[in-house]
Amino acid sequence: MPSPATPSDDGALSPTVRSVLSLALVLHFACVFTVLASTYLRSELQVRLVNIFGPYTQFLGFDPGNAIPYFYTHGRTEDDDAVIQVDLYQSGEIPVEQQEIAAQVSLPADDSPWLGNRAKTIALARLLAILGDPDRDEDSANLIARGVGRRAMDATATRRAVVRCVRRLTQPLDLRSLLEGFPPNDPTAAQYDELMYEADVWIDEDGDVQVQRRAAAAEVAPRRTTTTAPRAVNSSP
Amino acid sequence: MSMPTSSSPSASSSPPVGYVAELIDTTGQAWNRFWFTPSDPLPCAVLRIAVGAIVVVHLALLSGQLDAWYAASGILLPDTVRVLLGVGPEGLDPRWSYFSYLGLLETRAAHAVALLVAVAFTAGLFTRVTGVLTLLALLSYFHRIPLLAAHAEPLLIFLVAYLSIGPAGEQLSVSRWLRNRQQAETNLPLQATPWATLSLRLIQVHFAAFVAMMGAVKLNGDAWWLGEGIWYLIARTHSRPLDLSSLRNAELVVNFWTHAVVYFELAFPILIWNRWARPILILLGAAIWCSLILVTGMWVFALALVAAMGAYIPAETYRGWLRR
Repeated sequence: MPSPATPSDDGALSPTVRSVLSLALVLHFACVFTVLASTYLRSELQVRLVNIFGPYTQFLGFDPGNAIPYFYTHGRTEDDDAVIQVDLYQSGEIPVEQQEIAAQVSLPADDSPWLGNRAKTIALARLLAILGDPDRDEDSANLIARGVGRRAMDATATRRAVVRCVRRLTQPLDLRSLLEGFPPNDPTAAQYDELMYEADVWIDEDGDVQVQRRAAAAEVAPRRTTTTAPRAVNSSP
Repeated sequence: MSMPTSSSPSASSSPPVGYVAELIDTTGQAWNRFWFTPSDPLPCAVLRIAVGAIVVVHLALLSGQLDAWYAASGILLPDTVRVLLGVGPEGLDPRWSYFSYLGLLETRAAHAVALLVAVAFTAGLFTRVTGVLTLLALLSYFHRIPLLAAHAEPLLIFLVAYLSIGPAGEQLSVSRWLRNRQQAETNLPLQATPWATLSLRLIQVHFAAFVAMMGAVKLNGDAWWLGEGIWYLIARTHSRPLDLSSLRNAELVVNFWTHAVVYFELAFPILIWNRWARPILILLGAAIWCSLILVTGMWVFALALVAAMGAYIPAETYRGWLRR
């Protein structure tokens, strides 16, 4: 066990060094406090400030951004779990209606919830469910579907896939507020699963991966415009 | 700031000028005392071992995720990540990751090197160099898929960054042991240094702000106000690590658990600076953050939070523990 450290005159910093370090500390924490104070939502002022020192805070990882939910959940439907299901078919040129399913992949699979991979997959599915909202730009959702489909097809040597994102709505704490149609005794019943996004992904004759989102129900028939929840929905801020 | 330390407000100066001069003088002295008073590097060494071990575990857990997430051919291609982050194809993005350029084999090799470097940092071998390399590795994992990054990553990044500044390898390290062997097997004297203080203060201030952020973001939604935040974690049937849904029958327990998390995270950044409250807060923090493992499964994050609180424990306390 080392003995206690003793003060040393040699170790003291000169006033000049202290001044330079002090200036650096003030600037550093001005950046850090601004990004940490604006991880959830950003005012116009904060946006402009972050744009100025973004290269510093982002490069060094001091800005966690708004992608990591340090609130874990706000109880909104968009915070609920989601999974991605992929049906795989052999041919990229024949429509899926005329083919048998060659394989099915579910993400997350049977990964342990303690090892991190499952959390990443659910985070991706949750992101796809949010981007899959018909009111949002579907290009981003298609990009994710393309990546998921491409990887599943590579792993199974298939050339066509149907990628679905299904959100699992959560039960409220007080079951008396559970809406009709949702079974109280089974939180994994099919009624709690809501299809948020569905797309065909295939490898064309040039070897490129193509993606075509299937028409949302809202585009072909009158439907609800908000997510069905088994409880009163908290609106997003 | 370098402030005059012996001057006092001139008796002849007017009251407002005298007040300002005294304020600047006092603040400057307090600032210098807070940031630059030489201190024992032992807490830095203990933190290096704790944080380094957590980094090693974190990287080990990523070993099975390399092909799917980190290789350039992973589920989310580097260009896809740029689009999802809102960076245009031509836009400069400071979030640089070497994984964006590596194939499967190279990714695995880079991962193995990162693990070795993290082990060396934990052991205290060439600590400043291995600390910077560990930081570079952590940044590359974080920047490759920031949209899906683990909660622990931003925390581990700044802990390693600040420990690399300080003399974290001066004690309890392989480097120290090797130096002592070369010096006729006599223990070299340890010296208090301002860099140890600077390193620890950076961790303390940044961590307090980080915890404040964690508490503040919870206030943006209803669940944490209504005492139901913990329930909505329990009710997520795909991601929960344990089925604790029987707690539905103990609503008050759920409410208490939820409020305890929020109140603690809001109180911590203020009360941790009080020396009497500090030990209680550290014990409470360990209990509360570890309790969240049951509903989130994020045990690496919880351990990183607990380890970071080690920056508030004085060197004498560590020395007492090590003597036992």
